[in-house]
Parts: sequence; C-alpha cells; structure tokens
Amino acid sequence: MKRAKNPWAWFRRCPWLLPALAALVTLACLPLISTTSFAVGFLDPAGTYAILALGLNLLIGGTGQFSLGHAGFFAIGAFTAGILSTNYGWPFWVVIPVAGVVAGLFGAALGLPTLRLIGPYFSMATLGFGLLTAEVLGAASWAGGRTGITLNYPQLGAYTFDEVSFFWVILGVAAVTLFLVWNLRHGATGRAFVALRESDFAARACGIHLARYRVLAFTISAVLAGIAGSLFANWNGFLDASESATSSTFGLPASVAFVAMVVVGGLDSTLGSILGAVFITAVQYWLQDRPELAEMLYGASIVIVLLGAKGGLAGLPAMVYTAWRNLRARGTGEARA
Amino acid sequence: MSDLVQVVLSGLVTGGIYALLAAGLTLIFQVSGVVNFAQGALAAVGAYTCWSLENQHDVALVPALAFTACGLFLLGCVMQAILLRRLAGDLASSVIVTLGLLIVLEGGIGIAFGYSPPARPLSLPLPDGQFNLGSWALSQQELVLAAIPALLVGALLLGLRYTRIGATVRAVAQSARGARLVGIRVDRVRLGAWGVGAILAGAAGILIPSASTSPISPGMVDPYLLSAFTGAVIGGLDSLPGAAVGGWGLGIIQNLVSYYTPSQVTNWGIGKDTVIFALLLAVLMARPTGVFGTPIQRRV
Repeated sequence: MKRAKNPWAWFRRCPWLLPALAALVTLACLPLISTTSFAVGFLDPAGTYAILALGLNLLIGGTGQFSLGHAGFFAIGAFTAGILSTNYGWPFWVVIPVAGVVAGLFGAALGLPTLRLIGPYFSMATLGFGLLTAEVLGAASWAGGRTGITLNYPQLGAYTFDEVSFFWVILGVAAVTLFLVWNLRHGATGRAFVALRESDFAARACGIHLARYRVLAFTISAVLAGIAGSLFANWNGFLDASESATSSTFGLPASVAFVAMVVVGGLDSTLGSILGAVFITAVQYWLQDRPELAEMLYGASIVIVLLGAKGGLAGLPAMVYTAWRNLRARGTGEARA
Repeated sequence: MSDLVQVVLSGLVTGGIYALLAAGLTLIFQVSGVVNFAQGALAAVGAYTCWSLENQHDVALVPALAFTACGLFLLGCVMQAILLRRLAGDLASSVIVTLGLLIVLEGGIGIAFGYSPPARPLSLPLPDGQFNLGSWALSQQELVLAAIPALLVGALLLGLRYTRIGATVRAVAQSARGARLVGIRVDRVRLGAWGVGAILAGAAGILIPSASTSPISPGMVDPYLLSAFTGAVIGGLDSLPGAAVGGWGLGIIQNLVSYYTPSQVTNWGIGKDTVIFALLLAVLMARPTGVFGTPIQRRV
C-alpha cells in the first residue's frame, strides 16, 4: 500500500526555499526603481562584495587565517576580464568564469607555499602578494599602464546591459554562490575547515588532510574574489591600477575593507558575509563625500567586533536575546551564569 | 663607487626608520603576543604632537621631545591596558584589531589637524654641510639621520642584555608563565614594553619628515610601516636584532634596486616595492618564521 504523497513534503525538507525566493524576487525588483548613481554606488558593489565576502569568510571564519591580500585576487579577476573583453572581444558570460579560474590558479599557487605560515606571517605574506599584484598591474603596459582599461557595456545577444540592469547578473551569480558556499560550509568540507581551525593536530588525527583543505579554502576564496573582480570590471566599466597599492579599489585599503566585511558580518557565518558586505558598502555609499570617515567607521567596527562581540552582525540577535534574558532573570531575582 | 656609498647611506637613513618601527614591533610582539600595526599611528601621533608643540605652542625642541616621549609611553600603556590585553595569544585577530586601530587613530589625527599638510614643517636642527671621507663627500644630515636610529636601537639592545629590567623583559618573552612563577609581574612588563615600543615608533615618526623631506600628514608613516613590517618578518618577529637588521637591510636593498634598475624593467611593474614583497614571499617560503626567527617546534 502506498502512502498518500504529502504535497507539502518539499516545504518540510527545504523550509528556507520560500523566504529565499521572496528575498530573491524583492532584490530583483530593486533595479526597476534604482537610479544609476544608486546602482553604481550601492547595489552593484554590495552584490559584488557579497560574493567576495562569502569566499573570504570560508578562509577567515572557516580556517581562521586572516588574509590581507584578497584585493590582489579581486584585481587579477578584474584585469583578466578587462583584457579578455577589450583585446579579444570575449562575451562577459565566458569572461566571468575564466576570471574566476585565473584567480583560482594564482590562489592555489600562493596557497601552497603559505600553507606552513601561521598568524601574522600568513597575513604579511598575503599582504605582500596583494601589494605586489597591485604594483605590477599599476605599472605594466599590458594592463593598460597609466591610462587604464575602458570596457564596453556587457552584451547578451542583442541586449546590452547598463549599470542598473547588470545587477540582475550580479544577483544571479550571488544567489548561486550563496547556495554553493552554504552547502560547502555545512557539509563535510566545511566541518573539516572548522576542525583545522580549532586544532590542526586533532583534525589530522581524525584523518583530515591539512594541506589539501587549507589550499582548498584559499583557492575557493581566490576564485570567488576573481569572479567578483570580473563583475566589478563589467559594471564599473573602467579599470585604473595606477597608484593602486594605496587605492581603495585594488590596494591595501580594499583588502582591509574585505576583512572588515567578514569580521563585521560575523566570522564563520554564511549569511553574515552578505550582511557585512552590505553594511560596509552602505557605510561607503552613505559617506561617499567623506571617505576618510567611512574608513574610520569600519576600522572602529572591526575593533569593537573583535574585542567585544565576536558574532558580528549575524550574532547580534543572539547577543541581544541573551542580554535581555539575563536582564529579566535579574529582575525576578534568579541568578544566572 | 662614490655613487654606491651615497646610495647605501641613503638606504641606511630609510632603513633606520624601518629598524625603529621594526624594533618596537618585535619588542611588543615578543612580550605580549600582539602584532601591532597601530605602530604607524603611534608614529604619526608622535610627529604631530612634537610638531604642534614646536609650531603652535612655541615650545623648545628638547622639552617638546621629552613631552612627546612621555605622552607616547602613556598612550602605549593605555592601548595595552584597555584594548589589547584581551587579545593576548590570539595572533591572527591581533593583526586585524591593530590594523583597525591604525585606521581609527590616523583618521582621528586627520580630523584634529586636517588632511592637507601644514605650512610649517617639523624641522629638526640638523647640520647641512658635507663630510669628506677620503674622496667621498657625504651629507652630514644623512649621517646624523642614520646614526640616531642606530643609537636608539643599540641602547635598547644593550638595555635588554645588561640591565635587570632587561632581564625581566627577556624572561617574559621566553615564557610568560615561567616569568610569573619566579615572581615577575608580567602585566607590568607588558605595559612597559608597549610604552617603549610607542616611544620607538614616535622617534621614527619624528625622523620621517626630515628623512623624506616631505611635510607631515596623517598617513605619512604608512609606506614606511609596510616596509618596516616586511623587514621585521624577513628578519624574524621573535628576534629583536634580527628584525632591526631586516629593517636596515631592506632600506639598503630598496635604495640599491631603485637606483640600479633599468627603466625597461620598471615599465614592467618591477620596482623597489615589488622586489621587497617578492623577497618577503621567498624568505617566508624558505623559513616560515623569518631568517633569524626560532623555527616553531611543537609537541603533540
């Protein structure tokens, strides 16, 4: 005898599906009401950096290694996209994955030798890589040199995207990235990352291959940074790497902002990466006339989060709830630990 | 040959600033386990305090320097006591927290004093003649600028080696737990190390405007900071002489590279900064804790 099929079984299995779809549709409506300056200043960068932060959080939150060089991978992705689409006329939907692969190759190449480095040595090595990339791209003639690279608007068939409608592409890529990263983080691979972060000795005793997983985390974060970079190239339309070691697009300030997104959003929280990217981009958009104030604000938020509230934005509800519960417990005279 | 000597001397001037920053960094790192990027902000605070006292309040140079040193000592202690004590041992996040502090403090200076460089420079009474050594004519100013960091770092090293306080600092650096067992107040040693580290940073900050002949600005230390840290990491973060030597070496290498690199190579994006970061990556690959650093040994 066959049991009657429950028409809501899929809902039981994936309770997140409806809210996720609703969020996606809401976000997809945003370009319809957005102006060009709002899209360029907030929507497009928030989506782009969310993709990057998702990958970077696997590395920083997952394996616990602070990279200060991901602006380098972002720049590699952006310039791969720029060179391929202007010099060779490749369509953007080919360029984006290719940029991810190129950045991933660099990531694997840097991930292997930096495997043995711990704490500050790892941060310094990645920082060196980021600045090296920015310097080379800023001065090299094949990367546009001092004049930079100007891209055409990306085309799909007969349709030409502009800054506003390109948000749909970013949103699509971000949604797919979120799905993949969520599964990766909550599957065996993600647990292996966390095991390595907590104690690499114990993890290795359980048969987790240290080198393989560290390099994997690094490479994935580099691929996503490269993809984000190629998206950036497409909506920004112009790549300028001169003075780039100190520029806020490809230089050290960018790397710091990326780390701030992950830290402020919530270390090792998948949704937190997105919150952090949106928060930092919102700060930058809101204070775009006072960039130094924006920088100060996210510098301060890094300090506050790391010293006081390690959960970041994603951990905020839990923290407020605990505080409220303790307060109530004190009111009724119950002592709580 | 005369060119070479001149280039090396200029390298020693820049390298001396790297060495000061690197020595403060290493001292703090050894004793409290925090990699202090805020060293750059402390340097800027020192330069601005000294400049403000001299130019806005008409204080003579020596009292201004003394006041700056005391103020920086206190500022370093406060940073350790209030913020960074909580981070002891958490290597990875200490880098990020101090980077955040660097941004905040530099922004604070920018708001207090403005971002555009002030009209009056921070001037030190330096000789401007030539010093003739055989056939080489060396600038006296550069000689003095190269000598000051050497004296300061040398005094620090001697103090650590031959005084009682120095011995307690070295004990804490070796093992905080062991030092506590023999009755050393580890927290006080850490406070002191932060204070002294801040003074070293301030000295670097005061020398930078003279060494680079540029006006003071909130972010003026940043390029020096990166090279100094690179030098310290190349030398080894847990070896003070190593880090200082790394700083000086890096200054000389940078100057030699930028003097002798043909322009075709520069157009490919390879200059003095690319060379040092390539060097950093190469050294870390061969020796993950720097040239003079102790290799990490762990027991299961």
